[in-house]
Amino acid sequence: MKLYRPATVLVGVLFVLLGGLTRLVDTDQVYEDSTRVTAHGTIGQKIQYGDSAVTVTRMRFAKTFLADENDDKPIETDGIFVAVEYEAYRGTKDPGSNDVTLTADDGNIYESVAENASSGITFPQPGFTESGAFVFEVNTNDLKGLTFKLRTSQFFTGVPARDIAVDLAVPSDEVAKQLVDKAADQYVMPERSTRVDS
Amino acid sequence: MKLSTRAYRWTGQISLLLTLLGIAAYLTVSNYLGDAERVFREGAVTEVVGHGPVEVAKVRWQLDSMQAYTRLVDEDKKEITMDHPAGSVIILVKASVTPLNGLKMNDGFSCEAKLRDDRGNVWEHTSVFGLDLPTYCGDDDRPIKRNQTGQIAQVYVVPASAVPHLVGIQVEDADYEVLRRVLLTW
Amino acid sequence: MESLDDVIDAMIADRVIHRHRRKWLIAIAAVLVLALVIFVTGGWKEKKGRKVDTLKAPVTLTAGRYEFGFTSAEIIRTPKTTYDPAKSRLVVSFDLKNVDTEKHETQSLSGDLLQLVPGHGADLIDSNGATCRDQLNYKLVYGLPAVPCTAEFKVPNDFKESVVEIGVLGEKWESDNALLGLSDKPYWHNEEATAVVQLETTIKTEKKDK
Repeated sequence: MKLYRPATVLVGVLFVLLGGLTRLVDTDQVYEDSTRVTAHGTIGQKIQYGDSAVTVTRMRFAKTFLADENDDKPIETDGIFVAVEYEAYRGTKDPGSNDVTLTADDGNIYESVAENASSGITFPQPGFTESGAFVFEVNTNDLKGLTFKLRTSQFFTGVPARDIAVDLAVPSDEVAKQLVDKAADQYVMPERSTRVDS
Repeated sequence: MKLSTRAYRWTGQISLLLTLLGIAAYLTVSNYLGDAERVFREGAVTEVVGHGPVEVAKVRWQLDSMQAYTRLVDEDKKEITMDHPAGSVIILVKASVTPLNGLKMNDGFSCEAKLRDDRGNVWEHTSVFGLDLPTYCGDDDRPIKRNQTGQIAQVYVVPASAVPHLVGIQVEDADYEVLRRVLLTW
Repeated sequence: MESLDDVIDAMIADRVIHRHRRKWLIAIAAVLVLALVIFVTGGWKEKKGRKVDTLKAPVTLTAGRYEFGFTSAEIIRTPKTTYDPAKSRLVVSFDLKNVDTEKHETQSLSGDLLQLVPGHGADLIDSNGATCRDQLNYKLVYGLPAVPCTAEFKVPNDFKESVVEIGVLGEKWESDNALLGLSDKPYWHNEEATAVVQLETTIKTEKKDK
């Protein structure tokens, strides 16, 4: 049998083209970015997260912090603590789980440091709003462009994962320096509390 | 070459080509098509029954009552402390459960029901201590034996605005082969 | 009916096979002989001994995304109490710094990156992670100075080595094999032994709790 019949070659070429096309439809990062959407916002803004929503209500700088008010020994740092307070509104759909980080323009990634605190926002049951806070330990020389990021870690295939990025309004090193200079001596982590959604 | 041979060969080749194209197309888009598992994971109810009884994951369920309260009291008429914010209501659901043959039981079994409303909201139960009924199926003091029916109470905290929408409790069998989510309506 | 093309194809194939048959036979024979020789001479020698440097404390070294500055080690004995049996643990002190120049990410030291080498062919013992500022699994921020930390190892009650050896492992910033269809983005993993640090120990006995 002849191996190189035009029809055979044609079919081969067709499949190579098909493979290339499917590759083109997906972007380079098949694993991540083609299936993720990021919603951007600022402090005080209610950011939709599926049919749930997240608001960063306040940001505070502090030199030490207490994980709860009954603690007697404050936790110290050679850098600075940045507390981010939030409210999480829960809609009908299960928002799954997520991780939060702070990032800065220099590329640093900061994680929440408080012991016993979860690594992401835990959403309450439907119809309720939960408020809480994260504390991040941050390098004082790297604060410019500080952004609070929420990354969905569990989601369904085929549905784009929603991520959130909140600009914490530190546009320059001068602003950062002022914030560090005016940092409170101590921050007490508020207890998580739940209320009925208004 | 005979015309018929050529026709056969053409049919063969074309059908092979179509099959391969079909497989390729399916594999490309299958992630984006709905399948039973995804529908289940997204929270869809697969069956609606009345009060029951209904068998789910080798447990027979029957919904006995569903009542809204502003506070709960224990056997000594003392108020049970639980976290329920202003504007919320406590829903007490009583259900009869029967563990059937084939159910894995050691120190009881797990029997979890979630509360559901007509808008698709689902509430998980809150753990409460001091009620006159067991609130879980592994209660050593009030064990439920195989093939015997016991009554349990499940407590939920929901916003008051959701009460007129409540429809019943849902019970799941999340086994990959089964994927059932049964709604027992009130 | 066989076409002329097919006949020619078959002829060429036949020729090719014949022309190279001798070479193939020789190649196969050579491989067999080589295998036999290696087998008879006892195979390759397995590399014996340690493949990484052995250092003496105090010493500062970088392994993966951390910089360790080892200072001291202490064996702490906890006597038997009413409720607990006697226990011993080895506590190693070191300064720890996050030097993750790739990701600049806050991270806590994973316990298996420090391992006690008990010697005498015994299994390695993982540490419990780094405890700094009284917090176990303290999260180290990239860009901040080194923090004094300790790591604990559970040891047998009769453990009394005057010098202990701690194996330090470092993760590597590399990607999985993209050829296997895995993501070609690098990340920290594949920890590998970087050095062994020797520390002199002191023994301390904890007081009995009432």
